[in-house]
Formats: sequence, structure tokens, C-alpha cells
Amino acid sequence: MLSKLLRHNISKWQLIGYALAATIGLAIVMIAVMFYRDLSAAWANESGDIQLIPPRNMVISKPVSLASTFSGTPSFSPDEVADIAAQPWCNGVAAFRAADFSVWLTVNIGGRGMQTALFFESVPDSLVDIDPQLWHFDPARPEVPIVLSKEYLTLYNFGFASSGRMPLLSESTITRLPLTVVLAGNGRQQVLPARIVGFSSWLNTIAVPESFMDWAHERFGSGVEVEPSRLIVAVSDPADAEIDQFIDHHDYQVAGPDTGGSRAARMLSVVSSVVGVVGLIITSLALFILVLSLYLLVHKNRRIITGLIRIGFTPAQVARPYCLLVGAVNLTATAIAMAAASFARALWLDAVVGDQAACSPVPALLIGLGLMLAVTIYNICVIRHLTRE
Amino acid sequence: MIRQINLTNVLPAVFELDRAQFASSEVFLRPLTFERGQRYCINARSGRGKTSLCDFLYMSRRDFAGEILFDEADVRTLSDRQISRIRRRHLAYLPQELELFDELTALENVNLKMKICYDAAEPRPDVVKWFDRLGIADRIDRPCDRLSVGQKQRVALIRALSQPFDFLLLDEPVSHLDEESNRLCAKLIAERAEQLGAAVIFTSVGNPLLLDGPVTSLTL
Repeated sequence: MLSKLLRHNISKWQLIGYALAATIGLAIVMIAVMFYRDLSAAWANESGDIQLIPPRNMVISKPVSLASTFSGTPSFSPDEVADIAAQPWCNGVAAFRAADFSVWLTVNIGGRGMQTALFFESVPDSLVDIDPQLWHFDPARPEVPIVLSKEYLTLYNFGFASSGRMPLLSESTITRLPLTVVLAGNGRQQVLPARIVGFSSWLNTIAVPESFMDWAHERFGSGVEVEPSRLIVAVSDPADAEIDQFIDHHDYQVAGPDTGGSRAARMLSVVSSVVGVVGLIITSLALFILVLSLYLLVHKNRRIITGLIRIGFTPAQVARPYCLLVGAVNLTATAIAMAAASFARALWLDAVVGDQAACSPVPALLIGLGLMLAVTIYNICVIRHLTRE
Repeated sequence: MIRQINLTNVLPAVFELDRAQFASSEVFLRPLTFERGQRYCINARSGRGKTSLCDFLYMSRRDFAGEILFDEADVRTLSDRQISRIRRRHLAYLPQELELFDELTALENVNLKMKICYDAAEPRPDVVKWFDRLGIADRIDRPCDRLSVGQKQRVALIRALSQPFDFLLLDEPVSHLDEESNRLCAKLIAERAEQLGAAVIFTSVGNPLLLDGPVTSLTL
């Protein structure tokens, strides 16, 4: 009898409209989250050390212009370094430290000796993600550990080796090669064994430990301090658009593969956010429709609600049938939205993820469930407030 | 169980600036006690605040000066839940506007009330017999919007009587009934009140409920 009384004036079409809009909005939110997570995971799997949110260190330099051809490598003044460090997105700045002495590398590949002029740079040890045992220089037992840019190995294999009939080298092969470096400067010369201990996709240089660089500068360096030509900038969010604006404004260059990753990350982040926000807006509009419908319904049924409370029903008892109705509609909308999002995910899953282990859809579904739970709690509060009035 | 309803200097807020007209009132602006088991008739002409008094006693309005206590409990301090409990178990009310649900039949209106007033295992009165006694047995399954005002008044009375109560509050309960129907209603009310040991408080504008036995008459 209570339901018979209270279901008077319930508009079936208003409820269907709300349920439809809520389902679409919720499905869009879940699809956006699932797509972001899946693509992010796929990217991380395919590119090895390049994450969707790429390494939070960027290498920046100044472009080499016609003028600098004769004036030397463009470098960063202390003021410019301070300016970069003062940016809100900057978590820290470290300089590449170039070797102030001559370096020659000798290598024996398949019985063929090869010698080449080389350069060394050092960066703070904390930025080189290598076992500290390997990334260490001991003058008592001097062997120079080297981290090589992956691009250099690629250049060798597909450029130099193929045209010069040299053997191709894999990463594991080259780490086993016996290398010798000749250091010269300040009237001195010394031959040291060396070993490649790792490869980096974002450090576009030939890196040696800081401790080696200090030792070598003391012995072979000219003692003249030079300004850094390249900086490593630690950023809080590589996808931050303000970084691009700053780089463009100062005409700096961002080196390494991070740039593409960060742009793509930013694109994906923006697209996912826009889609997610559209979903949230649709869900909010649906919620707005429902709240208006509830106000209208309670207003139309004011006589019945008041009558029920006057014969002894509590406001909570009167609100219960409406709460159950809204709960059932929201539960149905959530279930349909989850099914729709899962179906949509199946469409892109093969294309994006392929044979790799797929990312779990549970967090996205939980977000949808949590969102609808919050909406339902809000609905119930509105209903109870209206009936108490 | 509520044994007493105590009123102290009660006056509807709307009369606050015209207190002098109630100088001779036996209800407003003085202490008054309604006791369980007694019968009270509150007489007044229209517009003197009879329905307001009923609303204050039924706790649906609080715009009054003074104090109303149910035993020791001030009605202003009661929660929604406590008020609902009192309306289901201790205080029955027949409002002047009747407040039946037109969407339900006469019997459904009564059953809806009993559904919230009794526990599942609790014995309930045979209300169908009461419909017969009041001469509306043939209207029992008819939606209330198809009943005359007099028939509705009797259905609303049955609904009020159907619940357990310590006090029965009736606002002009026979205003639309002839003398015979008035006597039938009065007899049923008296029996039910006696069965429950309850008080009957009713208002009148000159057409009082024809209860047998002693009735305390109060002028508003």
C-alpha cells in the first residue's frame, strides 16, 4: 500500500532518461580510464625503459647556430641555470661535465684492432641507474666503467659496421669486449683498461663516474672551469605543457627519446582527461536531471508524504521506497555501464595490447562503482532531506 | 503508556498580540491537565484555535507559546522517531480535514494505519465489524475519493480507533453526521476508549459528540 501511494506521479520517462544518461556518462568515464591504463601499460612494455610518463629527467641544450660554429659550444650561464632551477616544474638541475683532456679508445674486435678519438662526460651518479658496485672508479685498481648511449651502438651497427665490414655487436657482446682508453693532457698520458657497463636511451653521451672524472681532471685537466653545455633537468611532470612553453621561449633543445614519449604521454593524458571529463559532465547532468525529478516528485506527492508522516510513518520510512527505487536504477545503470565499458575494451585490447599481459580492468570498474556509489548516497541524502521537510 | 498531557500557559503564536480575548479561556493561558481514562469536550466558536490546539497536541505544529508535556516529556524536544512512536502507540487523531488517502480504498486506509501501529504477531481489532456498525460496510472496498464527506468522516474515525492509544483526539468528529450516526460513532468511541482505558478529547462548535457518561466541558 505504501508503494502504491508513493509511486504516484513517478515519471517513467524521467527515470529512463536519467538511467540512460547516467549509463552513458559512467561508461565513458570507465572507458577513458581503461584506455589510458591499457595504452600506458602497452607503451611501457614495448619501449623497455620508456614509460608512458617518461623518465623524469630531461636533457636540454642550446642549438648550435652559425655563430657558434666559430665561438665554441653554446653553454648555460649561471643565471640561466638558476632561471631553470626556479621554474615551478623543476625539481633540480645537474650539469653534464665534459672531460678537459683527450681520450682515445682502443678495441680489438675479431682480431681487428681499432682506435678512435673519444670524449667523456660525467653526470651526478644518482642519475645513472646502475649497480653502484659497477659504477665506481678505484685509482688503486683503475678500470673505467662506461655507460654508452644506445643510439651510438645503433649508429655503429647500422652505419659504420655494415659499410666498413665490421662485425655487428649486441649489447651483451660489447659489455664483454676488452677496451683500453688512453688519457692525455697537462703533459701527461696514461693507458687504462675500460669496460662498458650499461646502455642508456636518455643519456645521449659517453658517461663515466664522477669519481673518475675528478681523478682524471686532477691529473690531465687544464684547470679551467667551463660552463656546462648540456643540463639534466629533473621535472615533476614531463607531460606539463609549461615545460614546452619554457623550452620554446628560450629556444632550448630537449635531447633524447623522452621528447616523443612525453609529447605522446601529454596527448594521451589530455585526450583521456577530456574524454573522462565529458563522461563526468554527462554523469553530473544525469544527476541534475534526477535531483530535479526528485524535487518534482516529492512536491507532487507532498499531500501523500505529509499524510503518511501524520499517521505515524517516520520520514525515513517514507523515504525508503524512493531510495530503493533510485538504488535499483543506479545499480542497473552501473551494471550496464560496466558491461558496455568491458565490451568497448575488448574492441581495442587485441590491437593495443597484443600478446602482452593485459592491464587489469578492475581499477576502472572500481572507479565507476565508486562514482555511482557516491551518486547514490547523494541521491539518498536528497530524498531524506526532502521527505523530512 | 502516557498518563497525562499537561498544558501550561499554551497560546497559539498568532494570538500572541491579543491575549486579552483568552482571559476567560479554560484551556489557553492557564495550567490544564488531560488525564488518561477521562473525557473532555472543548467548545468554541470558529476561529478560536481548536484545530491549532489539536495540531499542537498532535505535534504537527510548534508555533505556540507555553509548554505541553506528555507526562514529563516536552513535545518540543521530541525527535521524529519519538513523535512517530507516540502517533502509532499512544495518541490517535481524527483531524478535521480527515486526511484519508483518496488513492486507497476505505479498508486499505485503515489497514495501512494498523500495519505500522501493530507488530506482526500483535492482535488487531476487527475493523470490518466497525464499518458495519457505522453503516458503511458496503463502502469498505470503495476508493475514498468516491465516498461522501460523511462516509469519509466515519472511515477516518475507524482509522483513528484502529490503533492502540492512551489519548484519542477528535477535531469536530461528527461535523458531517446526522444525530443517529453521531450516536453510533459515540458508542463505538466510548467502547474502544474504555477497552483501552484511554482519554477522549474532542472539539465542538455546537454539534458535540453524543457521548454517554461524564464529560468535562472546557471553553476555549
